[in-house]
Amino acid sequence: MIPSDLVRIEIKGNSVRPRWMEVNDLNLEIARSVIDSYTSCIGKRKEELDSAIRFIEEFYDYKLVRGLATIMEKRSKFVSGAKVSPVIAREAIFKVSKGKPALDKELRDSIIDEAAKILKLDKEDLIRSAWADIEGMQILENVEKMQPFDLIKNYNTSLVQSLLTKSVNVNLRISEGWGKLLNSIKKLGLMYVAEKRNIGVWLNILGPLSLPKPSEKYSLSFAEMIYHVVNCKSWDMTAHIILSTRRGSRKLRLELGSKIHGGLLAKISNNSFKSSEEDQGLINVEKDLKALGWVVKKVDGPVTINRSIVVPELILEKHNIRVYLEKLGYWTHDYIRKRTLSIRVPKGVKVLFLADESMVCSELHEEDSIVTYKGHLQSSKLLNKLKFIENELLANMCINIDFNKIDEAIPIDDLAKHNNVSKEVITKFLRDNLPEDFIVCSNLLVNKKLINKIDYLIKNKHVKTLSDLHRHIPNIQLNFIEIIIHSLGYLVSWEGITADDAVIKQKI
Amino acid sequence: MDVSLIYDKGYILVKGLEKLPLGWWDQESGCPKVEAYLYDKVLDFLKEKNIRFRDSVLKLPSYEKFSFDANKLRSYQLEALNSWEMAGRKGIVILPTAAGKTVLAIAAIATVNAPALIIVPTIDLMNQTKQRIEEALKVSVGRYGGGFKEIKSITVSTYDSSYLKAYELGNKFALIIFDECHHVNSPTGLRMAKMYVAPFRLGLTATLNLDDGIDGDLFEVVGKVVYRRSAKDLAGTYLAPFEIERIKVPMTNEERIVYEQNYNFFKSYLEKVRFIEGDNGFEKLIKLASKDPEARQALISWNKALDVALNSKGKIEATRKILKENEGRKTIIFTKHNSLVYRIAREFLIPYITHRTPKEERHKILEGFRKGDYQVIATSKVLEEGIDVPDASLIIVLSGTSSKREYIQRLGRALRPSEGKKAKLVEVVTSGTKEVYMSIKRSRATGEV
Repeated sequence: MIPSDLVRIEIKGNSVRPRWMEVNDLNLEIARSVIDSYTSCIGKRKEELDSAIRFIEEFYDYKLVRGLATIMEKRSKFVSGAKVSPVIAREAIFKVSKGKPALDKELRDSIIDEAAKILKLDKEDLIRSAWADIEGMQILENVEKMQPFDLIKNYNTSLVQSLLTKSVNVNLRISEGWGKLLNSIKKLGLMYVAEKRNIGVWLNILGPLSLPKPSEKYSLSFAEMIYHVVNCKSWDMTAHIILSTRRGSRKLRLELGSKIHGGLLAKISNNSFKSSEEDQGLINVEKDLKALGWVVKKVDGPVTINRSIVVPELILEKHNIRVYLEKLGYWTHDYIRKRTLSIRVPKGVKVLFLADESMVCSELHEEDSIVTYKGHLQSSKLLNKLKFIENELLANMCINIDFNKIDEAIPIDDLAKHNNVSKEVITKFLRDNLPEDFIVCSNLLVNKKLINKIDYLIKNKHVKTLSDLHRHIPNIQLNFIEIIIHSLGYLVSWEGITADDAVIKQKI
Repeated sequence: MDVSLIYDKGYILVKGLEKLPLGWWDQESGCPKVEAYLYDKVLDFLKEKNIRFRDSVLKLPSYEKFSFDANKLRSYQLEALNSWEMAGRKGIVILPTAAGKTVLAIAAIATVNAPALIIVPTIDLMNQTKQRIEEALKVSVGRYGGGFKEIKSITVSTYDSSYLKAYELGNKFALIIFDECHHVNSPTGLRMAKMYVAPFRLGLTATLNLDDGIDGDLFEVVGKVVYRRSAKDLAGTYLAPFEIERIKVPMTNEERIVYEQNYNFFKSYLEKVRFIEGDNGFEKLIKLASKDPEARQALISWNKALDVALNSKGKIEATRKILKENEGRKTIIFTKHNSLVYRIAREFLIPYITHRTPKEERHKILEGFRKGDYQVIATSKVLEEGIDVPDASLIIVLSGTSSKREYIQRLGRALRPSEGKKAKLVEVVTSGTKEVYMSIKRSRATGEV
């Protein structure tokens, strides 16, 4: 990644694209000059290297040159060259000088001589050590070997990475190699929603700017993702980026694809991740699960449920029910909700997420579909949740809603109470079993007959205020009426503090 | 109508009302929602409309009664406190560094006598403020931030922590004091201040409205300026008397050639594109420099010219002369760039503090300076604000910006009064360069604050 002030981009309409560094003679020459500056400064101070880079900047685009230097710097090792810690060297000097400034050369030399004797160093070593930690004094010990062509590709990748850290979300279409990519995305700890399509998969990955609290670690993992995407054979990416421009903060689209941009970007050869301690923790709870009658199957890779894709560690089965256990990386409550809503499971199936509290990027609250843990997963907490899920899934199988008796509207909360299940269970049930005559408006199940009636009253009976409308449909609460008329395309303009002054207007 | 007020993560929900002019309808909670800082206005509105309501917004921690002897206040501190009280316990007080803003904060807490939150810029200042309040009021003070999560009758926090935790701290205090309140004048600062219910608010600063455009929202969330005294007003009585000297040093011939070559290129470019220096011309140039290579070259030339002016060789010798003439005085040398700090430190073998100095070493140097083990220290911008810097009697400004705030803060480091003390600020500027103009511009601040 390169700092945002060095990122070269072009904005056209609502699109943004990196100013790619094409592979041509001039660019190869620029890349070669930067590499040469580094290799020729091995053993020299960083300030000399900086000066060599500044010299190249005089001839070419400074943003480009400095961007290339940033990439080389990350592949370089600097050492201090100090014989003793700079702090110790300075303290010895101040001890000798008694904290007074050395205002003439003789006094300065004598202080240095005496301090060097105390530390058993020669004079030059003391001077080198005393200020070895200041900017520019470090010595370049070595630098990774790199060809100009590779530096160009890494530069282009860094441009994309820098843009991606400013993204709200990324949509990916992968036709080949998506299994491996999903594994990588999961291992990087990113928040994703995946769906199977006719060819390949569609992935939505939450960008760093979608988090309620900024997380540098998430941004770095997110940037890392591009290497894994490029490793796929065929991919298309659309990212929504927020950039501060002269016209203020703007949401822009970044579109990339393997056919056009694949060759411009760097790939990584080593694609493996170490297995974490948590995976071991999960294996440890297996015994307890089995003891309670669950059949435990280990999974290595993505699993498709209807069209939704999950990447579970374990599948648990008991009676006629099945639970997928997926360990999350970074997470927020909105993400859990989004994920849960995106997975369309048949009756008797549940996806349960295991979430490490140290990875939460929002406020920490318990959620229906997660088991949280700190450090190690406690089997008791998981088993309690599974017991609850077991009961819930069995209850879900017998939800009973008599749609014929709902003439107007009913709050989903009431249905939940009536069926003795949670609101989420009802919402999910309605999503899969909603009759054509009904719609769900916010937290309400509404008969379309009521919708038509309200529309008729407003259009033909000249009902002008919320209280007028309420008089025609007194059984429906005022705030519910407001929700319904909103869905019909009307606005309520509150011109006072009572419903008499709440005027119904057509949305513009 | 059963109306109730509830605090909800930086907002107030007004349950039972269908509409409230100060807020908006919140679909999720099914009632009007208002930003927390408008709490007192919501109360006024409900009372005016004769609406009975149940108020469960404030969840104040239990608190001890604070006692503070107002006779301890200096006359201007008492005037400031009275002005703040008269303004409905809301508003900003502007006093120079070392004029006792913390004492005023303590007096305000004792006056309100209810749980208070003091927000300061850094963790160092949080610890220092806690200690000073505990000494003055003999109560245990909580810290929120830097690994601490203590909420007590009086709690001190940093701007960062009070922003990140505003949603849960927002209804726990009746009084909120913003130390160095110019920090509120930023998008996050304003957002934070709006998430707190506290009806009583006091902003304290030495440097408001000098360089930065002040957003009207600052006065909306903290209150208007209710009292202001400058360093000049207090010098010789409550602050050490001070003198300011400007020493001009010439450039070497080599420096002059580089300066003129670069400055002339910069100037001719501005003329060519018809940008006028000082009339946003420089801002326009910076914007243009990212697109136009010639504009960039002009910008580089300006930086090179300024670099020569700010870091001219003559400044080292001038510093030597000043230090010789003022031997024995506790001195802080300020520069604009770290590179000059390093040069000075290496030349005179004196300790230095920059943003890269590790915390432990910084504390050691400041402690050494406080005890008198170190007579002279050099620094760039880090000691200007937010750190408890021991008092000096001589300030040498080798380079800086045109900022009046920066100038006032640097001068403030020498203003703490003591028997027979006369503070001195010496500016060293390179003659015949733009630095002279920058120096004149910033030094006008002494007349303003």
